[in-house]
Amino acid sequence: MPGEVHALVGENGAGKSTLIKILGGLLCPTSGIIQLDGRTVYFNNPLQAQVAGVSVITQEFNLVPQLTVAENIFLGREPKRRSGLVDWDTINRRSTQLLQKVGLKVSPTQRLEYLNVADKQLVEIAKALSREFRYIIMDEPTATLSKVEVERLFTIIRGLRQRGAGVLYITHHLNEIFRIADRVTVLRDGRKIGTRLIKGLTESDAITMIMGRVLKGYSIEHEERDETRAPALSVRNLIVPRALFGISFDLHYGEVLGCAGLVGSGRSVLLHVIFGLLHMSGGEIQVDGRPVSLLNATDAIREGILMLPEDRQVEGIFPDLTVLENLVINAQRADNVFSRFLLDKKAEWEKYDRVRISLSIQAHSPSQMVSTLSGGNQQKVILGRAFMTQSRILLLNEPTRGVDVGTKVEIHELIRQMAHEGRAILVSSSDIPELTKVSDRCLILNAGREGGLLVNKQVTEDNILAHTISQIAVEGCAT
Amino acid sequence: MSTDRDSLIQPAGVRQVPFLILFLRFFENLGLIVMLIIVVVGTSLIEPRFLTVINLINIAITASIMAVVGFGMTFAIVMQGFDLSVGSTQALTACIAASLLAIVPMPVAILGALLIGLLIGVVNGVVIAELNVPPFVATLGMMSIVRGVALLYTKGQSVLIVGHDEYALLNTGKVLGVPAPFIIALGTFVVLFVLLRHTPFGRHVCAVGGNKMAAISAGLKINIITVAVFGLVGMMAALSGVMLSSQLMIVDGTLGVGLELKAIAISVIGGTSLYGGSGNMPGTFLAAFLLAVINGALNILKIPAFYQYLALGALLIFALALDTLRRRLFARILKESS
Amino acid sequence: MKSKIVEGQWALTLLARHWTRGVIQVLLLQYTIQWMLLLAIIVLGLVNANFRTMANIQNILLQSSFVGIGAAGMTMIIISRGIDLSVAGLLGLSGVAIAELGPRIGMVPATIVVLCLGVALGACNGLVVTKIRVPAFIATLGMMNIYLAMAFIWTKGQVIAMESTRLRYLGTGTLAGIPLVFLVMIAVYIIYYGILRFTTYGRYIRAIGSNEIASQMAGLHIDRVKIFAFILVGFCTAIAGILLTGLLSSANAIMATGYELRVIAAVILGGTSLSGGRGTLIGSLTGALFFAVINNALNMFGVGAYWQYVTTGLVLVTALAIEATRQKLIGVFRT
Repeated sequence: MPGEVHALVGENGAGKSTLIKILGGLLCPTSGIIQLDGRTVYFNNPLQAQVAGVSVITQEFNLVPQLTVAENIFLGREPKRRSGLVDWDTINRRSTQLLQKVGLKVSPTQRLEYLNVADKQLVEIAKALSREFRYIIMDEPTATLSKVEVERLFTIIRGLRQRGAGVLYITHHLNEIFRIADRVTVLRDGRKIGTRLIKGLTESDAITMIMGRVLKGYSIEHEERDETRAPALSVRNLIVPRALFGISFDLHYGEVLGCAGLVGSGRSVLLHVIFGLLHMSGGEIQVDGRPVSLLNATDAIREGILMLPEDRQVEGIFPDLTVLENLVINAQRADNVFSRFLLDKKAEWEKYDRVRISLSIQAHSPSQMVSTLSGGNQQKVILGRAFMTQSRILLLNEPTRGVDVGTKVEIHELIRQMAHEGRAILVSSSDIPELTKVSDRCLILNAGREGGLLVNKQVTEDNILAHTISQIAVEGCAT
Repeated sequence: MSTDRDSLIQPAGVRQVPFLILFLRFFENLGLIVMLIIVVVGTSLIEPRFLTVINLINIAITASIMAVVGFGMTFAIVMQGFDLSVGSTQALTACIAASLLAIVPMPVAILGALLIGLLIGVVNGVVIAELNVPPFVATLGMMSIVRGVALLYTKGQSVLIVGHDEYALLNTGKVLGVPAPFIIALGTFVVLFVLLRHTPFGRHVCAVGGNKMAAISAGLKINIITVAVFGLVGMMAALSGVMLSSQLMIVDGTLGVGLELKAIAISVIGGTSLYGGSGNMPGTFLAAFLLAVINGALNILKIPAFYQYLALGALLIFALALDTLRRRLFARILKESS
Repeated sequence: MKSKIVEGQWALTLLARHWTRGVIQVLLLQYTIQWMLLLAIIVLGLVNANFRTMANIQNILLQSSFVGIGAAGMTMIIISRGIDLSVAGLLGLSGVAIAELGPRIGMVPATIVVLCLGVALGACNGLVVTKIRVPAFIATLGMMNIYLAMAFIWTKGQVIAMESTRLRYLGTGTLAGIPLVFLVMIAVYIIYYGILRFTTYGRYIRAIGSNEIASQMAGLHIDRVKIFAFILVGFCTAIAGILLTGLLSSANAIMATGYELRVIAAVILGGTSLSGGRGTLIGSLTGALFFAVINNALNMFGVGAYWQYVTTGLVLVTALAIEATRQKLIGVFRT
């Protein structure tokens, strides 16, 4: 609605990005319609969306690093002199005005690539301001902003609202929606859960809507662990700039440690650091009591750590390889020269068969192209890789993302089984009920800090929720 | 509550670009000039004949012919594209110009050659834009096709330009003592420099090369821009073909082999980044001279011609390594300063 | 055993499913280039009596071999989403090396040295691309110049005569009517096919071409695999260089100008995709044969050699266009 700030919330995979792409004209919906001021509109390309008055600011900035700020703002609509050349005076002058409006003190002739992320975002907003628009869509605008910068942004947004523009504000920072939004819509798994007025909404209401309801009850046995061994993984005071501020925990063999927290709380960063894909600026990681240095994935794998990726399409699946090959891609091999170079098809087949049965992967044949498998089965294949390696420490990042309910249950049982067999498993998930089913203990992250650590019987949905939100009102966003 | 004259929150001062970065960028072009001076001085010390006016003019002419193609290639590289067919185009247009001279007046012949170059470039652009073929493979194929056409057109023979002494003036003429080819190259430089830096079209080309997604979102017509840029490259190759034909006065279908590498090399050595988005035209000009000077030096020092291949290859790899190093350095400097 | 049964069942299911969707269409799409080759051979054979002669067929087989051998390695590198434009220089250098070294240290040792040279140069290419992080096509373009220069310098710009009768026999001789070089090519293809299907690195090449990010996540040594792919190119190009020297009884730096174009064209025509992950060695072999047939036909009809330049380029671009459309069509047939 014009003159309103409408927040859109939901966890990863809820469909927010897709929705934005459609509204921005980058994707065409397979069904459904968009209505603008009562008229049905179709956006076949971004230009049409812009002409209709819809302006989109995404997380991956639509900015060209090599051009100046002014050029970026007016890309495609550069003011021209009569000779056809760019009118630098006008473009710089108007840019300066816009930059003042957003409070960015940067020269318009500055090259964009020299700006930091927060400033780039303000340039994006200036870009939107430079057009006549009626609706502005902001996708996670505060993800990389400091407190001061966020305040600046809110001031601007309030100004926009005053001018009668409609702002669609997508975020996962709940505290923000309570500060800036008039209404909120919650998405989950591609569906709208509901729309509420902010007035009268409590935080726990919101979180409950986002996280989801309880799965039909079933329980899994939690066993006693062997406390005498050194913890498989020991993390002390882990610091990653802007993401983690001193996280410490132990992960033991035979246990499943859940990791809860809203998107942006640092769960994914934590897993990436342990797997060597991100570097920490402070803290220490120990494996089996030994300090280790994890500078890349190969290091991590050598130490026995394996991470199964969050986005299987981008980071996990090899689309041109068969199901079997996807499964055994990093299977353990005997140490002799032969095995390192030659494939042992027979042994692989056997391994594949075993895993296929235990995970009940629905595949006609191991030589089938992996792309023909359903999403849930692909996820199982990726999970199955863990069985192929001797990795003792598994980091599972959203193990049941985009997977149907039945397969979810299967995967949960598999995780428990792997723990039972002695592996140490860290499960990061935005699905709270899943965490309660699967974890022995549960670590809750909150804006990069520890929100709490729940043990055994304490691991319930309510507790997890409570710890997730407990800091929200106080902390605000990441500093 | 208006935000118009509002500066509620005052960030401390204008964000400054780290001085180190400005210094390094300035240093790039300067480095080329320094290298140029070193080679010239060094060679003259060993062989004083290097500094004769005739020799220097020859070098300038060679540099100018290369520079013209280089400018076009720079445009393509800015858009993250490459054109491997420029060598064949140069040969074809040289032959066409030469043979047309016998039938039509000089300006028409030149125009004809330029149009052919434009056409070849446009075809390249269309294949790349519409068929989604990677530029280097598409232009690789075109390179072969055009080469074949050139050889067929001349039936493998040489084409002699006779009775058109004024045509040679394109090469030997001087304006205020400055060789004509240099004037042509200079003129081309000015036009393309302005085109790239000061016209919306040029900025759009940079946008497409810097962040294609952003360009699409801004509503830029990528396909048209692609076709235009490759057309431009083709036309520049044709211009160099005309210049070459006026220099040699006898052309055949085997000219220009290896030109594409030289053009890419001088663009990269000149400071244009392979990752697109920004082009360094002055750098290309300087690099063309550097290459011509090096080749001239090798010639006059009686070093066999094929060492030029070595020099070119080594220089290119070196420049590429510098490009990578530069990016990493910049990234680290930026990260540390923010 | 059980695996074989499952395989068999799967093949039957596949066939059955395809039957209902039109076997002809599927087979046509899967083996487009092979059908085209067959068609071309049949048509040409009918139209021109000379085409059918033994001598002519031998000639075709011979001509196809040099491009074909190089295409084997090029297929591997393209599958890994890379490219190697230096093969012309590499081949020239190899040819020059065998011609120069042969008389000095004996043919057999020289062959071994040259093969090692091919491996080393391939590794060089790989190192430049992986360590200096330069896009493959420019890096190899630059390396080509360097290899050409080395060959020129070695020969002082001359053409070197190659005296060895043994090598000449290898280059020009036949066995049961089939040119020896063709047999060498078949051997190369068998070996490379084996590498692709039966070795870990072969699989890694496909994995990296398919999804480099996932490869990193899975802990594959990406740099090592890429260098390996470049070595494969260097190796077979060296073989081609040795054989070509045998055929021509001489060697010089630019004996293979334009080689990279013909090799890449053969690979693309054969159906290997530039986007990596998928590739077909059989296709590259067919592609090389196809070009040889076309060029032979052009010669036969008195059309000058210059047309070959045009047709090679045209076929390459057309093949790319076909590939683009084929993607869309096959997409329809997938489950």
